[in-house]
Amino acid sequence: MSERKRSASFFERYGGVVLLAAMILLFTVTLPGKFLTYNNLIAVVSNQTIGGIVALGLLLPLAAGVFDISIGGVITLSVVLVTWLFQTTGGDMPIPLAILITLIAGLAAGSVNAGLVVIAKVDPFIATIGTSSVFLGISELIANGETIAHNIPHAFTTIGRTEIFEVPITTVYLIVLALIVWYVLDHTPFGRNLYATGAGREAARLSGVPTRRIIFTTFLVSALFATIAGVVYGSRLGSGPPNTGASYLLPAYASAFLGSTMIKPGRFNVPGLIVALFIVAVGINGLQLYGIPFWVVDTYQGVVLIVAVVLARTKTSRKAKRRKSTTGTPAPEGAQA
Amino acid sequence: MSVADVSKTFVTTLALDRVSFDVGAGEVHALIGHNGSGKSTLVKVLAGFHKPDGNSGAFVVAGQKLPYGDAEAVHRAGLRFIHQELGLLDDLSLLENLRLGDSYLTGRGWRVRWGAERRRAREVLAIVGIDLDPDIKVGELTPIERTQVAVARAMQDEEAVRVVLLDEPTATLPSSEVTKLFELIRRMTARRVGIVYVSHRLEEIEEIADRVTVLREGRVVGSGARTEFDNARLVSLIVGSTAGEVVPGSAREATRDHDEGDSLLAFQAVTAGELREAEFVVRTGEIVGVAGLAGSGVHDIPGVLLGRVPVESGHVVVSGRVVDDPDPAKLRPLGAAVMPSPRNLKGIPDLTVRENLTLADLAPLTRGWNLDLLRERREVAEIVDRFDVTPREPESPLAELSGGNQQKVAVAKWLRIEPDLLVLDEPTQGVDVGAKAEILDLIATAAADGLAVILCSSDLDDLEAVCSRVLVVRRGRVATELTGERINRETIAEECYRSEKARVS
Repeated sequence: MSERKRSASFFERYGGVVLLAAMILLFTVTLPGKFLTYNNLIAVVSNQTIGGIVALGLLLPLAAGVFDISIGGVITLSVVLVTWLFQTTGGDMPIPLAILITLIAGLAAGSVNAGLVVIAKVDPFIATIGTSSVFLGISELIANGETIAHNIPHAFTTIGRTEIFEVPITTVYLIVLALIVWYVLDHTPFGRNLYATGAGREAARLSGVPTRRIIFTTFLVSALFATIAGVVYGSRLGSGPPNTGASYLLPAYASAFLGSTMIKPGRFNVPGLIVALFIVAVGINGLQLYGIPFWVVDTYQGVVLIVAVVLARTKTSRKAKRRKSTTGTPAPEGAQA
Repeated sequence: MSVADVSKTFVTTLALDRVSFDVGAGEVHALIGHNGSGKSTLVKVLAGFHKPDGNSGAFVVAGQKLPYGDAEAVHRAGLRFIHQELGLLDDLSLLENLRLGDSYLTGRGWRVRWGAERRRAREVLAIVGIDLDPDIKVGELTPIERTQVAVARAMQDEEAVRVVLLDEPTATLPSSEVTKLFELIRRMTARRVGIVYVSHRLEEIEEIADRVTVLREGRVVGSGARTEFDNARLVSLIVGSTAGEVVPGSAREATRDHDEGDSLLAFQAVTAGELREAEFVVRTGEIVGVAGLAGSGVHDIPGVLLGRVPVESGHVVVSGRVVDDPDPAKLRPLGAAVMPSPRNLKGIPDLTVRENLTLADLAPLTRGWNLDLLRERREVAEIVDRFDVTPREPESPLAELSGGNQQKVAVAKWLRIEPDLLVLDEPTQGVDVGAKAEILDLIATAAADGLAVILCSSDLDDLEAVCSRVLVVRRGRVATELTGERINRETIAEECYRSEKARVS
């Protein structure tokens, strides 16, 4: 009985970790001297940092049961704005001030989303598709349709390019932010209320959970994280392209959903997300090292997203079936396999 | 149409036990029974929604044997079902509603021949004797017109229709319109259509039915010509005479006679949902039961407090303060808590038992920003013990518990926040006898410690067992207050079913 009552089996929880280990093993053996090198591994990790930061922020609205599609638009807005602030002041704007202004702008974008969803009661999916396009439009306006590349201070680019003990600093950002999100979700009343809101909004409200405030906050957080990702991205590039943010949307969803099927299956959770992030990254890296054509990357990411959602679905429906067969049965102790 | 010996078992409970039922052409056969009597299960079997147990007898319509569980065959055989909600789409026109799920008359190039459709719609409406513009939006119609449209839709392929089942057709009708519905029913019976009339309202049955069948606990407990039954006999058949033995007697004695406490909750002429100027007061330490039939407005009392039913007029006063547009967040600081009735709102199935138990108030477990998970586990282990939640596995999802244990978790969750007043809506619904007694015991114990409770329950045994006062809601008003010896299931049932003489013309 206690076997059945465990909310998820070992394989359900750690299947993803096993898969990741298997992939690493496979690529190590079949790509000798190419895959398992320090430089390659560091590249794999640091390529994930920006997408990872976006996905971490995305976890909050997803856990609260709402979609935020605007994160791509917010990243673009942030990259363009932070670089434009330097360009337009001839590189004279203090770096902390430029970042602060950009973060505030990102929060403003998030509060537009939040207001549309919580106050105007627009469907979150539609609202954020709309605002995403608006944010892109504003970015194009600021950038005047071109990549911003003048007067970017060298000191700004160090934010994204420095290494600490040969580890790229962006990886450190990812780790710190992951710890923060993990703590908030798992160890604060806010996180608990967030999960409750996502699992049953009306039931949570009737239990006294301030569901509206929570949903509002999740949009602020996802926009803030997308903005941070944008700033890091801009500093790594040393320029502000007005058209690249959107490419982070799909991978973020793919890893968030895939992550929700492991470690704590059925819940959007940070450790699951991190494992998922590397399943996607290692897969792409391996495929690229095999010399697989350019179009495979997008296809692979799409497949991962779909597989993740199907996995999550079959797991919940299996759970529901099990529930159906057990509810009403005054389950005698020890019975039932 | 007839069915014989229908049985239906849900997992472990026998919902229908060898029930036979029939209706002849041009006859009105009333089907009555209390909540949970198996009435709606029977309707669903007839509609082909549920498949009954294998040993059930034949299902025959007009001499033809029908397979069970085949909604399409049922429709082809000429059975029509009009549910309480009528199944009309407000945003579509009357004509479109008539044609819902059917094909339209079309001309060349799949063009809908609207002219011909409109003529046809008028003809259909003429069958039920009404004259309405087919282009009007259904949302703009009055309640009786909506009922008429639903009937017209059921009757549109007139030759094929043999039996029409009306499920609580008067629940949403103002009493002045009931005679119009009866006219409509007589029109149908004149066309040799058999009517199955499902209702709680005995005075309606007295007027319209030719025969009556009473269900109780899944069995037919009475069936025959309407004239064989007077209202008193019907009530006693509906309620049964075997009183349940769930009385935690000592707790009950302790909670009686609390007339002079402080007023914790008062409804002052509240009109909301089905409620019409409802008035009552609840004081410290009382357990006040609220009874009433479906549609009477009983469940609008918790509905109003939860912010799910908007208040149209009147005042809700909690602990001496008028609360506009009440909701759980506003009531909490005033010491009042409300447990909703639908199971999926009592708790969150995908969260663990532990998370559900503490959700209503995390503050005592929080230091700064940190939720003290160790303390939470300790407190939950203690609650699970005290409330005897089985299995004792606070880390499993709530959904994996039996219905009774989910109810216990819900009651424990709201008792944990130690309110002064707790409103419980159907706390024992779908719960076996053992768990029911335990839940009532928990409530009675808390009341003995000074908690005021409002218990809305369709289970009259619950009310008899623990209440110090019982309010009966009829047609949206608190019509009767029962105290002392009058708190027994027979009297409560009589009061629930008592007809308002004034309304039957």
